[in-house]
Amino acid sequence: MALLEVRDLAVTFSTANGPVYAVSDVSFSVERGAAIGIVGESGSGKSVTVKSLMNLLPSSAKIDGTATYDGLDVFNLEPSRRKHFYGVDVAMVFQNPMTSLNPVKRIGEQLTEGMRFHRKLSRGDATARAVELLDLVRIPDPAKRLRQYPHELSGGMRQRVVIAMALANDPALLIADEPTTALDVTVQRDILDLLDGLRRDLDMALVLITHDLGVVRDRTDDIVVMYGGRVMEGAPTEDLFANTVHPYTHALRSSIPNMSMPRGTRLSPIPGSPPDLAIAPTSCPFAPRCTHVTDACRTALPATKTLDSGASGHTYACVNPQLGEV
Amino acid sequence: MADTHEPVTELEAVDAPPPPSIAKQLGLGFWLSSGFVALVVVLALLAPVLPLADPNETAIGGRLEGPRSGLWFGADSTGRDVLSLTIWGSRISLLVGFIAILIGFAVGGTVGIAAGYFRGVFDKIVSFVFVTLLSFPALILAILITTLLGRTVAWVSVSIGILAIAPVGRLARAQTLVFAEREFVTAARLLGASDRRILLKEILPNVVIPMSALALLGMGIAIVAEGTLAFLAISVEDGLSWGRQIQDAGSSARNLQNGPHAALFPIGVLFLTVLSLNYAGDRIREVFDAKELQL
Repeated sequence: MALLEVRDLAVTFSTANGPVYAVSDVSFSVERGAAIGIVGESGSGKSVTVKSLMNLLPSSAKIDGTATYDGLDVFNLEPSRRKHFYGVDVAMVFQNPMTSLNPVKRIGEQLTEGMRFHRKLSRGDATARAVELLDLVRIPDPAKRLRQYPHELSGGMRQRVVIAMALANDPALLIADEPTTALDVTVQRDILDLLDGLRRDLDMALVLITHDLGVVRDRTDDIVVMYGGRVMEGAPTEDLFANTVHPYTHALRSSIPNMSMPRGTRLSPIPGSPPDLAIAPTSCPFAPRCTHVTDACRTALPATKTLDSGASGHTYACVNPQLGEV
Repeated sequence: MADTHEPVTELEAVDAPPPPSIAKQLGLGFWLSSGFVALVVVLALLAPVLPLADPNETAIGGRLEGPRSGLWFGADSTGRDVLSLTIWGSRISLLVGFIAILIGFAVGGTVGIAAGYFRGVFDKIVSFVFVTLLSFPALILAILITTLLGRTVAWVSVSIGILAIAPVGRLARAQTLVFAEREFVTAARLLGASDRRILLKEILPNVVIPMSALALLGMGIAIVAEGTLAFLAISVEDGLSWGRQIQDAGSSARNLQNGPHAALFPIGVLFLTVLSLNYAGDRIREVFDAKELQL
């Protein structure tokens, strides 16, 4: 059984101007110790999807569908189980390390709080564990860092501290919401490799959210491509790149720079802008921007189909699939 | 794709030179001005045990006698010792300033932080009350309270304190809004922290720094406000304060001409105290604002 199983997730926000359909019909699963990448541009619903799992959405959000973690119904947790679930089972790394640490508290204090609360560790034991954690995320001189304040560390270091905080209670599932977007390009790769290494070493499942298909290519087992709050294509990572089907995935791939491209190659941006989520879609949300659009795309929502009759676990929602190079 | 990148090293300043200590960043001016305020406070506290002339005893010196050895600040128009008057007067001026700001912070700070954190209807009501308070003519309110409720230290402090609630509360609310949306608050909540714990451990320490700067500025303003009330003869009844002293010495043009020192000494001390409070508050704000920018 998968560690996390999300089925037909839909999130609707009620606003003054009527409902906004942020996420619809999203399904995916994460195996124990596996990594999954959720890829999409701004407004594709990828953050809302994980926020709904983490109970971080405002009260105006209405959640439908089911999410089961290890047999538990995530959306209807018993209050007693809730604390353990969010503090111990599942942990989250936020996008911006500049705002995810409290500027007036020492690193050590912030690292040990959660452990002392959830595991009732003594101050000494928690500090020893904190040093261990900083070592784990490869921060040099960990004992000294514990006495420092966040402003004394660089952005990359701070994100390492945030990751260490997330690992404090040995989570079985780590959710990283664009963990490198706010960092320098040179530091991004280090942080991503760190997350990848930690997942393998600690046998922890990882949900990596990003807008960059390149980021998840070498670091995930499965990829879910989202657009307009819906899953466009989902497949094992290798299969997704070998047999890209959905025109949107193709478009994402060709908008990413590649070091092996010949000099002077032009990147192709995706024309148009993301769909207005306040309108319940009656057709493929990507149709207005799609270069392979057909009349059928504009008349009905494309059903989710499987490639190779389901053998590879490759699914897509498109009426005019484009197999192979485009 | 990513695998074709050259390996890059993490360009990080792991051991950047440590920034100068906060004490140093605050600068000489800060320490001089807080030193002066400390001196004034210590003298006020020690007034009963200092070898001072009785401030109410007349004919200690000659009428409007100038400063001389043993009568350092000179004497006023009834021959009272101006130094003794100034030190005894500081007690009520400082006390009223302190209590007023305490009231402003206890009420305004608490309500402001709660409004910024819980938002919703409560926030709307609080913000409306703050705006209403701000639009009230300050002097009229103070006159109303002191004449209706009595001219005691407590009521004078309350009347000035009420005026402090809205500005303090608005700053507290704004600062809380800044931090309540930060991810470390979300992270604390995810880890199971209660609202109480988040407010006290995560938000309050962040809000306290800009607030402490405002406290110093506000105390200066409150001392001046007490002086204004005293000058209008509606501050503490029969109490010695700087404002009262200035009013006594400055109400007659002739006295002011013949012995300006009787008014100038309390004015000078009042001025320096308020200036020092303002400067110290400003420095705190500047140094810690810069810290925030580095984040």
